[in-house]
Order: sequence, then C-alpha cells, then structure tokens
Amino acid sequence: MRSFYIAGFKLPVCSRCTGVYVGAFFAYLALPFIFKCSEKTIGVLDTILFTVPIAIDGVLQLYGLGWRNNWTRFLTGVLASSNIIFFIIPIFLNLIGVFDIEVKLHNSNWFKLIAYYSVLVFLVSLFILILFISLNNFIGFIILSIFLTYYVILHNIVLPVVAVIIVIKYALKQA
Amino acid sequence: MALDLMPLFRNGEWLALGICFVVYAIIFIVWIVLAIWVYKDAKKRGENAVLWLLVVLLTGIIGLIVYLIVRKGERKEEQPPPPPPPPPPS
Repeated sequence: MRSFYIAGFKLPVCSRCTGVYVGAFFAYLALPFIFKCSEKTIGVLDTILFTVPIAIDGVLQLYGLGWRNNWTRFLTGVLASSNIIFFIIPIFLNLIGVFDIEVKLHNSNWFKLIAYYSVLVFLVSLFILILFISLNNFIGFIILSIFLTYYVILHNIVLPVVAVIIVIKYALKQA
Repeated sequence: MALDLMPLFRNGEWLALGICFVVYAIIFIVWIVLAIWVYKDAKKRGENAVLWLLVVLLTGIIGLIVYLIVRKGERKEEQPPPPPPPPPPS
C-alpha cells in the first residue's frame, strides 16, 4: 500500500524511501557541479527548510490528516534527501581536510544554489520514477530493486561506519 | 535433528551462490579500479578529485559517464623547467 508497484511487483522499500534513495543518487551526481560554483559557505537553516515538507507530510499522515498518497511521500523524500546530502557531504569532506567550508546559519547564495539544484534533482527523480512505472517492465523492476537494495545497504551500514570513523579520527586529531 | 546440507549441494544452489559471489566480486573490483582511475584523471586535469572519486563510488557507471562528459578537455601536463637565462655579456 505504501510502496510503488512495477509490473505487478512491489518495490522492496516504501515510496518515501524510494524518494530518499533516488533523490540521493541524483544529489551525488549534482555535488561536483554545486562546488564548481566556488560556493564555500553553507547555511544550516537553508538546508533545514527543504526538509520541512517531509516532516509535515510524515506528521500529517501519522495523525491521518494529510494526503494518503505515495507521490507526496516520494517527492518530499527526494527534496529532503538531496538537501541533506548537499549539506552533509561537504561537512565530512571538510573534516578530512579536502574542503575548506564555512558553516553559517543562513547564506542566501547557498540557498539559491541548493534551491536550483533541488528543483533539478526533483524533476529528474520524478521523470525517472514515472519512466519506470510507465514502462511497467519486469526488467525495470529488477533494476530499480537492485539499486534500492544497494542504496539501503550503503546508507544504513557502509556510510554510517565511514562517518563514525571520520568523526573519531577528527576528534582524536583535535584532542 | 541433524541439519542435512547435502541436498543444497546436489541441487546446485551453492554453485549458483558461488557464481553470484564471483560476479559481484568482479563488478566490485572493476568499480574500485574505475573510481581510482577517475581520481587520478581528475587530479591531472585540475578537477576536484576527491569529490569525483566519491561520486563514482556512490553512483557507479552513471557517475563515470557524467564525469567523462563534463571533464575538462585538456590535461594539465607538467611544464618542463624553463631554460636557464643566458649569461650576461661580459
């Protein structure tokens, strides 16, 4: 009920997680372009603003007030995950000494930049999902399922472990 | 009750599992090699090498294709040292 179906088969994760992982994929592709713009100051509030829709959607559905719609779950998931990646990855690259990033509460240039790339990621993710669903092909289902499974393992096991190692190394370096 | 594993071997499930493991291992090795190649190439071209390495590791072949499309055309070759200035006329 909460997952998309392709060729009669249910995807391995819910529609919100499908949005999160598809959005994350295109956000990774957008990262080098964002940091080509020589933007070195990132805003915390600007990023949080883009994660508000997923919170509103989740809370409204929790209390049975909002739309019970897989598309709102997907689209809010795309918006939240892409912006979290635009925010988190530079911070970790900063910790390992690759970037020199300044974190501010609000930066209008950063807001404009991530708003532009969020809309781009949003549209591409929507297009890809509509393409897979409209093709309604078993091979499409397999490709999307393998991708989602890979991203679930990556984002729930591999990357958290890497992140913890980076933070511990940074803390030891500072101590 | 003893666990009888022999039917698994007889029916070929373990063989299929082994083949899958080998295929995944080959894909994984090729993936890592490609990512390292992208890192070296981006470094030579003066791009953000760590970011491109991360992109190829996380997005696979699609990231590689995007890199090949958008990378700078010319490599930054190492400049030979300039010739020594001619000795001043005495």
